Amino acid sequence: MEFDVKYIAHLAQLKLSEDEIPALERELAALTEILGTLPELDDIDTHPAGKEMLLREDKAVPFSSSPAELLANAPELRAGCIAIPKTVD
Amino acid sequence: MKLYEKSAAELSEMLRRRECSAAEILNDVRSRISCIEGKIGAYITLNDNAEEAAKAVDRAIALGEELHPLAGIPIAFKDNISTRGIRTTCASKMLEGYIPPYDAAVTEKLKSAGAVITGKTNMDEFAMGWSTETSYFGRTCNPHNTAYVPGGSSGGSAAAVSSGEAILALGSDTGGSVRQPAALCGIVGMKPTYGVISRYGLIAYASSLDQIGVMGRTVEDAAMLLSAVSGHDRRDASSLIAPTEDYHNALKYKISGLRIGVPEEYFTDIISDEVREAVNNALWLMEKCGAEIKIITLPSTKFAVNAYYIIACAEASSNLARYDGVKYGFRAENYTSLSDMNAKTRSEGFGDEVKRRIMLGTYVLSAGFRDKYYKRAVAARRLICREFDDAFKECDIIAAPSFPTPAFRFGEAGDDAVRRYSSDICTVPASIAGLPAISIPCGRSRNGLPIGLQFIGDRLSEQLLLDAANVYEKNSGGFNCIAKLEEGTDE
Repeated sequence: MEFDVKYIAHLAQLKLSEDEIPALERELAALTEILGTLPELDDIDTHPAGKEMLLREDKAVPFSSSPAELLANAPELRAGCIAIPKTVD
Repeated sequence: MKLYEKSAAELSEMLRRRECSAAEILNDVRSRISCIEGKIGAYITLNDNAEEAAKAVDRAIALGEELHPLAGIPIAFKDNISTRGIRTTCASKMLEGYIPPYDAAVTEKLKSAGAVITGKTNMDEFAMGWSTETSYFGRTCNPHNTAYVPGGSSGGSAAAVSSGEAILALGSDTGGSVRQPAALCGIVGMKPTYGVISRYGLIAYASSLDQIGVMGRTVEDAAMLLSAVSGHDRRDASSLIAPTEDYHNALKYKISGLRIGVPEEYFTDIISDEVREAVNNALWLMEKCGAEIKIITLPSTKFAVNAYYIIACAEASSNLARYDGVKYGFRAENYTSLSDMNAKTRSEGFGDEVKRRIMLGTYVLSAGFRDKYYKRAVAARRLICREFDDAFKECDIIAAPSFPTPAFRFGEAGDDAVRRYSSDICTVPASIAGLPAISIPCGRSRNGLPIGLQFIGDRLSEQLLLDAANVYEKNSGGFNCIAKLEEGTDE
């Protein structure tokens, strides 16, 4: 089975070098061949009836960290904002 | 005996009787780290502020205050558990300089108990691996023989406890990453029922599988740590609302009539003769202690590894999409646009195994392939759960090897991902089903490497597992976990 490495890398937002591609193609093709041997189990209900998920109240609460602490890990700050390349030409 | 060789329970009692101070315990552990860390490589970051916590405990003792059993005990944290102000890297270039602005729920609980954080331990990058060889910061060595791997992905935590560089440790277990390194390093490692320990602050790999686990040198120590970190947390939507347990004070010493199921599917040809012999000897001892051994069958075990890797990688591809170089973490240089920055950041920031799993996860969820892979994996998961439910009507716990072999040499596993992944057969079924499981030492290989025995229980049967493990420990002469630190040898 062929594995379209370039397409999957594009979906995964990964940039692969030309050198990386052949080995990855072989490896992922072999892996997906094995993983694809799972049988169809049509009689298994994958959404069984049961308890509903308990959701907490949608209520804003103070967070323990200050804005400065939260921004301290940003790669680049300008005027208190996280700087990134422009998104629209 | 040095203080770093003692158990948490012993040290807790010594502190209560004022036979030593928390500062003395920390100094002893730190001396041990200074002496051997160069050979073991268990830590990525040491906590320079650990003395403050130790001194606070000593002040409280001097004032006659009632203390938590873990007060003053040095505990290592796997480096995917958030610790406010202490670098948390997931052993990845992507988070090399990341300092969390908040504590994980388990960090809050242990700080509140007065535990002392020794540092952040090495791991496979983003918890993806089985040997702690994929870390961006270098490898960790098995303290029993430094030519061998400690296991993974919580290899640093296991090595730290095994070598005396920590008294206790926290790890994380998605497909066996607490149990397997515990087995390979000869210590106790336990993954609880999914939802028993809050995942708030655990940096995610696969959210429906991840669980923080506990590591120690005795069953009692593992039970103490589990008691301290378990409990409902409203910040984790998967956190179970269940009564909190005092596992270590409720430990039993007899297991008469305990029914232990032994699934034939866990003893295939990939299990080495040494592991098979050690596990069989352990089961024989349990029988002598009053347990009843029954052969059972779990036919869907053959689907477990495939289902695990499809589900785990699918979830990882989603969880790791957040690493884009925008808000935190590594950002590539020399990009031409936002999308170029994202792609370069991810390609340069992640290691090969992480990229492999992200791509696999992306593929199994992609249009045209989702039904063939992901949908079938979810169905297989339900079948595995159902089979465990049926099995626990016939037996109380299930016994199996923790890993097919003792530790292997660095590089021995090779580049064959298919072969590597298939070795997870012992641990992934319990992960898939969200069941609690514990690994305990049950023997040594001919070249002195530890072998692990695993007990798996029904949901919320942590106490029963700990009781069974405790009985084995007490009747087998103890685990004698501290490694003598053999230099790498050719054997």
